[in-house]
Amino acid sequence: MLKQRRDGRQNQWWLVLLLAPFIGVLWIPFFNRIEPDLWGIPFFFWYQFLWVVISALVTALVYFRVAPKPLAIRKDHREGRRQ
Amino acid sequence: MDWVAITVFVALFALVTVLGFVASRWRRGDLDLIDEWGLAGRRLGTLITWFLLGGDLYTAYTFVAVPALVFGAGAIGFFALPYTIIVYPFVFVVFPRLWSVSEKHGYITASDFVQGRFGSRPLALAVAITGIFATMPYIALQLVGIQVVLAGVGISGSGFIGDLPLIIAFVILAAFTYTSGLRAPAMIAVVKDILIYATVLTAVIVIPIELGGYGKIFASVPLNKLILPEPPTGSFGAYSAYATLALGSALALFLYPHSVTGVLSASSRRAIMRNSALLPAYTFLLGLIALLGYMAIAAGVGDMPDFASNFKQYGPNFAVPALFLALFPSWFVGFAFAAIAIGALVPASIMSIATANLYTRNIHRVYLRPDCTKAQESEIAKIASLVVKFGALAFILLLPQKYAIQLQLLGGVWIIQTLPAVVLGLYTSWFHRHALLVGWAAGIIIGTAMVASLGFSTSVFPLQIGDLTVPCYAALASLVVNLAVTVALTFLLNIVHTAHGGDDTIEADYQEAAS
Repeated sequence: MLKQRRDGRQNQWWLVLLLAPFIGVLWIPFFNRIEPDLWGIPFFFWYQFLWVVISALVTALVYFRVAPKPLAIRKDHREGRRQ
Repeated sequence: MDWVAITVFVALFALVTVLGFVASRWRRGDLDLIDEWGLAGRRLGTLITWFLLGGDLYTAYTFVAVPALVFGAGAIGFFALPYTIIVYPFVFVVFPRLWSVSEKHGYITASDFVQGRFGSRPLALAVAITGIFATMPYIALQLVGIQVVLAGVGISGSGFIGDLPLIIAFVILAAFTYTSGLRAPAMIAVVKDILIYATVLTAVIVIPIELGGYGKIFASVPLNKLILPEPPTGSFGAYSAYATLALGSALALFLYPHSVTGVLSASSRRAIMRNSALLPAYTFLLGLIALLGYMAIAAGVGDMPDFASNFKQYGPNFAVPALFLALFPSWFVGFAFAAIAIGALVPASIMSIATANLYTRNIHRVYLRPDCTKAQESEIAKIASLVVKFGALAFILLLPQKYAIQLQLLGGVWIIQTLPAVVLGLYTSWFHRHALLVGWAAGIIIGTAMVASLGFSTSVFPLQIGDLTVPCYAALASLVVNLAVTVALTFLLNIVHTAHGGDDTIEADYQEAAS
């Protein structure tokens, strides 16, 4: 139990990555422009669409890093109940 | 009247009606318990939660109003994209904690949690009432989505006959929500989402082919609508409006009762975390739908004589229906419009369940019938869901639509005021219950005053900071006031040793191992 908690604490640093989407899409002067366009789509749009994908991938990465293995948890839980 | 479109439309609507009633037998549970009726037994796995939350958060009104805003006002309407991007990292961190503590203590609503955490009945009541008032106009607006597509296939008119299709749709909605509870929208959401994805993906491929490619579409949009206008000197202009709308809306979204219901019906906190990575698929879809606004500009639907009367009645909200009518065969129009109309049923159903849960758990049970049994509790919730829906129907039929839109605008400003108690409360019980209540009241009053000073036409308030004008979403500005008051008063009340309410929870309740 203790060991798991220590691991969990270490993992929490991954959460910092979740700030990236906020910076990416809330700093408007950076992306409020037409050039460079992509297949005729202005930068303003494809940049924000790109962040939808990046944000999802970052969240998935953080999930795999932060959430401890499901099996270990289930075992812990069962043992806890038995006691 | 377009009979092909109407036939397809009615057939799909009939299909989901049947599904809505069959849903009561799905993963069968005792629907006489509010956990089962109002949260589907907290048993929805990752995939169904994805469909449910997707159908719940990305409402029919969103699908109509966002491209309408892009069509009418331009790039500012695109704030829906950053808004629904940043909401998920926030949800990933915060809401698994709400799930765990709610599962541990049997909470059904955010107000239940606040009562448990801060031991304050007035504060819990404030959270419940805010949720109910913020959601009611939102339910009413779902009807606007149905109304607009009905008008698109030629079903509109005045008086009772004109309103009849809408009334029928709502009676169906009310009946299956009553019998099946949250299982009905969960099941219908699967169909709705498949219809919406199919419609939108077809549209964003076929329409550009018809109009000569994306390059041509964007080239036909006037520059002042294509990107945000450069802020004038001495002001942050559209830039701060865009960013604060995105941030404020993201902070508010999961405080809405229907979002909380969606979160708490998940089978595990992991299902919520996984969905934070999976739900952006809907955000991508919403972005594509927003682009339909530009396609409507490029197609020139605003000037087509066929649509003049509907544009006159429904304004830019008719842009997307007009685009489909102009470019697609009747059967596909029926398919697409059914997707929007069914898309209204899912959130409307969940919203009515969520407000019914709030009323039952946090008002009726606390103030009117403290001794009610579990079965009575569930029965009250079912009846409350009916009252809420017919209230919304009456609202939209009897009052001008603009009131519903204005109230929904205010709803965002109101619901965000519960953030200190609900979200910060998940991390600390340091805040004093009285301070939270006063902060909430201050936020509501100032936020409402800001929107009122703008004639209820917009929620972007021009803040004056020295010589600088910062247009800011009123919800965010008033939340800052709320937080400042809450923190200051907490310090003060702690100094004079005013009693805190009891905290039923311990830190372990919020974490995975405890669940």
